[in-house]
Amino acid sequence: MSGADLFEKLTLSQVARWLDLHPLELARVLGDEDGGLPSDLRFIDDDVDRLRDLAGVETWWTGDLPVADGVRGRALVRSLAQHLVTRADGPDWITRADNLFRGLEPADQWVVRRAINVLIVESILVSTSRASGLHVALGEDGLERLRSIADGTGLPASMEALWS
Amino acid sequence: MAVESELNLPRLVQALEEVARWREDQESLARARRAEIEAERERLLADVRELERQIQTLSDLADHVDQELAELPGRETRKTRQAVDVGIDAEAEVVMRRDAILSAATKRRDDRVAELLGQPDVARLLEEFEQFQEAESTLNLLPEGYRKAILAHHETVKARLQPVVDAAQATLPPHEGARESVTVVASVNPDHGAPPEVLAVLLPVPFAVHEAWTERPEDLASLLAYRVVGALGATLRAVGAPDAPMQFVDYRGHLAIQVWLGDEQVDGDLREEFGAQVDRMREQASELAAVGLDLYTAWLDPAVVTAGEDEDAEGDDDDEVEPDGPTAVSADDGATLEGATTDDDTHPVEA
Repeated sequence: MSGADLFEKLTLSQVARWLDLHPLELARVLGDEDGGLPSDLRFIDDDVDRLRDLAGVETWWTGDLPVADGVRGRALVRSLAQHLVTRADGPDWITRADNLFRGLEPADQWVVRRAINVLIVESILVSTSRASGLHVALGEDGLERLRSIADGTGLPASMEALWS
Repeated sequence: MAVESELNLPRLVQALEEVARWREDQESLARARRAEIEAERERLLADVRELERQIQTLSDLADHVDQELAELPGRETRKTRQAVDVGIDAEAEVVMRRDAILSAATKRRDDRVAELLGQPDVARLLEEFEQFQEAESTLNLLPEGYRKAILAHHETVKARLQPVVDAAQATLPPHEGARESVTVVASVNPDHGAPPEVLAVLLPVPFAVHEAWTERPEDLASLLAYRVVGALGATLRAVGAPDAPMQFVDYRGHLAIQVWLGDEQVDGDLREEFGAQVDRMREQASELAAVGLDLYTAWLDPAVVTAGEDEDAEGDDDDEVEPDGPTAVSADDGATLEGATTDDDTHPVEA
């Protein structure tokens, strides 16, 4: 980092990279905020946390998987379900769809994204569009079914293709 | 002797002969008149045929003109689209030209920072600043008095570096040369009456600002796209449709933005609100001031803006068949993370 970099503000693209968002998505989030986009479209470090909150960006996947399983793909799916069970704290719970796989390596992300599709098709999750991007909420009896996926007793047959 | 004989004809016979001569004369006269009448009639019939031909020609011309009138809206749409295509290409070049001004202004700011950082005392302060940043996480291991002294010194260093910070974070000054302007092409579909279903916007910036943003520097085109998307976000919020799905579409290499409003209750005037947001942007965006770029909104028929982006825009309009294929987001589209549109609440996440 050069001396100048220490003092320069961040561009919107840089903030988007930090938050793992598309800059146009971030621009929409800013536009949706009171006051809209700032006159100078550059940001200080403190803005990043504010924008993270504003966009609802969370990173669930850090460190070890919450569920151990001898088969990597199944471990990822069960861990995804466990993450959801842990965080879905009520019928009004909703989160960004990309929070469900943010922080994963590309190969693992590939599996989890497909697993999310299955969860949506199975109506365990329901997706809906928001200003800050695609979101998911729990489907009817979604929490119960996620619990059974997390403990390995209720894995949908359609998911087996993800690790077999 | 014959004369004598005629003279001697009985008066009755003479009278009869007189009648016969009269009849011949009358017949001759009548036939001549009849021939004249027939000739006149033929002339008139020829005239009528000519007039009928002329009437038919006029009718054909009237039909042709009627057809031209009927085709006028379609031709107007094609011509408008061609004008938009030509205009948007030209304005994309304006944005590129103005980007050079932005680059130059940014470089001047960077040069000023580099100049300040090149001063020996500032270089020393910067070194201290960086040393502090490296050691900051271990400060709590130090005795409190020592830590406080280091923090106090760091505050002094920061204060002395403030001119560098100010220079690095300075807003670019307004451009003092000639100004140029570009257009945000917009449409609402349906145009009038019924509740709006699609708001479409076309920008003179490359689609790559959406598709390949990680591979290109953030330039004026990027900033313009961010501004317009922000203005759309503010517009949607103002009309009570903050979560309306937004899709980014490639229109002949330019960025088009389509907002699906079919599932929203729009409360307000979209045109008025978006126009106000663009006006606000024009007045407040520092980068637009720094490059001397003005921004205007042109509201067009939705058929122009939502036309198929594969259309060949180079041909003559009169020879072209207007292609179908509106690309506006619709209730049939499925949502993905890359381009979320919605018709219900089932949107698989694109893998």
